[in-house]
Amino acid sequence: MIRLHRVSKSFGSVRVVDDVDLTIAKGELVALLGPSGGGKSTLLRIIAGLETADAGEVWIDDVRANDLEARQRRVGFVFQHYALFRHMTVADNVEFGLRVRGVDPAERRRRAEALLDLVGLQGLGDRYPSQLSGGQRQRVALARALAPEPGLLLLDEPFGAVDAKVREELRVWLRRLHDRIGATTIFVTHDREEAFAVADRVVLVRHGRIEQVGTPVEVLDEPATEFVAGFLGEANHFEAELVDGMLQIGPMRLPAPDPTHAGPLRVVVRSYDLKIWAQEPGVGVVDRVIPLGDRVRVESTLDGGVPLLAHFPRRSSLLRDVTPGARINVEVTQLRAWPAAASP
Amino acid sequence: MSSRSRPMQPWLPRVAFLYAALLILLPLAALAYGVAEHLGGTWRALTSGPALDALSRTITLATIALAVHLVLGVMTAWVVVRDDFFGKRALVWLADVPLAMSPITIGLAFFVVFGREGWLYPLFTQLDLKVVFAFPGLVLVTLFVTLPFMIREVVLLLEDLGTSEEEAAATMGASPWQVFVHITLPNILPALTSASALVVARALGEFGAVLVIGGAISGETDTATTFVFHAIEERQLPAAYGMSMVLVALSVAAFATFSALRRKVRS
Repeated sequence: MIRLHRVSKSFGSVRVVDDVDLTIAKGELVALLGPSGGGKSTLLRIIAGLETADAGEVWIDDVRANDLEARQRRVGFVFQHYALFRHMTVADNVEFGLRVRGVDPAERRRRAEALLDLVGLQGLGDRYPSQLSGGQRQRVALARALAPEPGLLLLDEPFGAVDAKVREELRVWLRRLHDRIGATTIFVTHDREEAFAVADRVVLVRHGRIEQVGTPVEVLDEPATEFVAGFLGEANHFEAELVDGMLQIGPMRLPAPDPTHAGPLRVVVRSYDLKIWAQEPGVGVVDRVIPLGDRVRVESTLDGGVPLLAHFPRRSSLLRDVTPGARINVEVTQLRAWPAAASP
Repeated sequence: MSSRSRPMQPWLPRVAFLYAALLILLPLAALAYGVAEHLGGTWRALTSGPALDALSRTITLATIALAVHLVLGVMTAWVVVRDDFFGKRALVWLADVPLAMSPITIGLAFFVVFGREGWLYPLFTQLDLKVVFAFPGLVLVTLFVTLPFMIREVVLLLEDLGTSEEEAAATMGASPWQVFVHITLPNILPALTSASALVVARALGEFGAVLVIGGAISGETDTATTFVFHAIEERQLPAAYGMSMVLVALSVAAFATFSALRRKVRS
């Protein structure tokens, strides 16, 4: 189990981790998800002992880890750019954690072979890292991190440096691997699909703070903040006023979730939570229609200049006559609103 | 594709070749010619007591410089790159100072510190340690002039390597010493070999500073370079040619040895 209690860290005058509380259960697979520069990696490095928190406590399995060096924490760490030992063979890389602990050579060799088997790299033990592909290197890095049997596995943007197709394979593979070995695992990513595809729970991090923690379905369906609502899918962010109990967004009037609220609101509408169809006189005009494989992206402008983004299935009947220059009507099927001041 | 396929001015390589050849090969050829001309005299001069004594002193100095910088230079480079402390930038800058100073100035500066009127003279006299006009003075100036080579090379490579391999080793349970021995040291070996060649070559060739601080006393502080200087002054040309050629050969041998080591490390 991992518990972070009021952890903060600054680099110079920049607060990269800001008063973070987080508990992760044994055997869980959790994604730290958020935009680049949001403090996810620093948080991970603090848990590993590669950075020192300025304030707060890190508990690993009921041990206060603040006082432990990285090497005493029994943590496996996988770096974005692999960080394989370039002067050692693949087998020597995997054996390293056992060697420094004084495990005898025969036992080391046996366990390294078993691990290379586990990550699907049997027979490649004598190669050097430079002779492997990016996906293979990352799997060596994982086998190496697992060799000392860590209680906790940390992965920093593990698939960031491999190409898109390999990335998808590695995702599935990581999930299966986790189900097999069961080590508590935290990985950092800025890719929401990657987080959803792999993790039991997702921790959304921005500006060094945790915005929301939940299962993929929870954070997707019940976003706690405007940032979460916007980050988890392409979305329209509107400024709205309440007029006679209705939300006024440019020329559109929509039912308000909380008609009693006074003052300006920020409204988020996901690009798939609205319908548009060609109709005169309508409330806006189509700018561009972009085919994206199985989906179509429609960019329009509402009267008054507010941009509107919508996604449709490629064969949707609604798309008939939706062409650049066409007048359109809009129906919003789901929206979320926050007071404008609370979530800038 | 590469710059090789770009058409070049055909005279450019010739200019480059002439420039390098004239500046380097011509004097070397002249030296070799001088040795060949006075072969018998050269051999006699080189095998004389004073010549062998000066040469062995120079080799000792180069060896000491190499040994000290391999330990303290590497340590300094390591600390400068991997640690964060006040004055770190100043230390990097300081390490380059010897490159910017004329050796004769360096000799003079050491004279001011350790000479009869010098700041530390009383202290060292108490300790019964003679620095000026003595071997310790030669060691100090040799260390001074060779200091930048090790630090510069290792600093550059350490910065280039980054820290993630070291961090990875630490998370796997390696102690700082194990990290250094198993990860950092193998990674910086190529830089150590080329820096070693530079240190040795520079130590062998130092003249101005050892002359000022040591006084080139025969049998006490005479080095290979000051031996050549005196031989020229006294018109002992075979001795001058011969010792010069030996210095060239030693430097070339040092470079060849260390680049062979480097290739071995790489593979």
